[in-house]
Amino acid sequence: MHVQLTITGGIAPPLTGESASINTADLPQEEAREVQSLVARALQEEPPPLDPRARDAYAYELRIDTGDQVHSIQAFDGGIPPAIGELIQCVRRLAR
Amino acid sequence: MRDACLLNCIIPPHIMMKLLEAKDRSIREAALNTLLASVHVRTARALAPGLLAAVNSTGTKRRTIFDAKRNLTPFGELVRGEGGPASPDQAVNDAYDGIGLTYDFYLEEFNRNSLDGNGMRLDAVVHYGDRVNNAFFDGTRMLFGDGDGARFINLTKSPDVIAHELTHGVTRFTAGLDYHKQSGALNESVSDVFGSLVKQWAQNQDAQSADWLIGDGIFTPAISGDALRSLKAPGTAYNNPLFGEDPQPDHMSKFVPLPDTQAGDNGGVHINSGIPNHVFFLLAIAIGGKAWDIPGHIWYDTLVNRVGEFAQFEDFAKATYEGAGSLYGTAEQSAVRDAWSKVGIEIDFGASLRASKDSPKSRKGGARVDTESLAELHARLDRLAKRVDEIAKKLP
Repeated sequence: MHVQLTITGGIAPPLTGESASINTADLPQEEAREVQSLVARALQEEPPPLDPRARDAYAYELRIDTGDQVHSIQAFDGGIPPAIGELIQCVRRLAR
Repeated sequence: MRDACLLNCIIPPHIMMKLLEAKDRSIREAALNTLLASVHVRTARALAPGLLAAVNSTGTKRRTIFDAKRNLTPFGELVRGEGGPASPDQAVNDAYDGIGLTYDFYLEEFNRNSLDGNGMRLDAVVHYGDRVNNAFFDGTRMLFGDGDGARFINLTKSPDVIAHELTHGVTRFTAGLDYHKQSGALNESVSDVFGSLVKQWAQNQDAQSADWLIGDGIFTPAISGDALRSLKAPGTAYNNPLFGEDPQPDHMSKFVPLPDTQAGDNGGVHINSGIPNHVFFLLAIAIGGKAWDIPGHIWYDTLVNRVGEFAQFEDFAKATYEGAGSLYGTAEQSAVRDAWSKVGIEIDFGASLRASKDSPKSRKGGARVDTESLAELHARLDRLAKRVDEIAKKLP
């Protein structure tokens, strides 16, 4: 499973944006399982659209390629559901 | 069950009037109950935003800092309230102090009581996410990431960044500048201008000695660059292999057309803000002295009284010109006109005169708008209540 994270926006784009990607095939078994579990939970969530009052917020784009299917999730600061938030942080942490 | 029916049934007014005049008493009563329920719901809906604002308004400085504990959530544990003791966590204290500084600046220089002009409480969340390189305003509160330590340090370290975010709140309650293209660039520029002014005010600097940088010191020592943006010299804040070159233009001839998408920075709102940013710098240097005095008051007056949400650069230019004449005199007007001219924006005096009569002033001071809309609502409710009373009296 390949997970690509793209972060745009922020107080000074493009400085504040970033991208990260991970492939579960390259990860230790425990971390791969963590990613798969988070992806399964994240796909159950429906993030709200960007609050039109928000300023300098990030937009998070997750592209999840399971091999069989490709899923896309978009979420925004101020309204990130729990599992999607955990997945975003997990991808950033594991991609370092 | 009955309430649910009443609330969910949509009856056209002309049919409702017929029902109220029906011979059958039960039908008349049902119609009246429906009408009363409708009034109740409409009143609740109409009053909710105002009541919410009233609940959130404290009438005085009230800062509340929360700790998100590195989660991507706008909520967190309360770690410091107004007047509370300093925290062992410096990010908490930096946010608290920076918010207090900005509040004091607006109150002392512009007699503005918080973001809404009515003492709105000031909430902030620190440690937002894990090593997040950002600070933002979510519409009601400010959120600060810790920085990743490789590119950015903790965003609470920069008082001008804090003031920038808070000023987004002021803009929300005043001009409400739409966050797309030129109006969005004006929104960003206003936040940069007042972010810089708060820093200058704290250091009691005049225009000549100020650095006119936003986010100076926010990069780690590993990153070569002065700041996120420069009002003095847009396009020069940084230039390094990691970030590239600061893309901000300082003249309309260099305006960067970008798509109105998230990836396109909503039409370059953080890019083209360099143009009005530079105008303010040029004006402040031309007038001299403390930039928050005359230039700051012209900009504040424009934001609060003279532009609407879809203002373009030319609209803002005309408004500042009119404001300079109204608040000060011809010398200040000339300085305003010259500053805009230097970035390639000529003020159309004919249009300016027309604009003075016709310009959209639908969103002035936040408190004033609330008062006006509430007064209008009260009048409408009074009329409606009288009508309901008249109908009720006619019921046998």
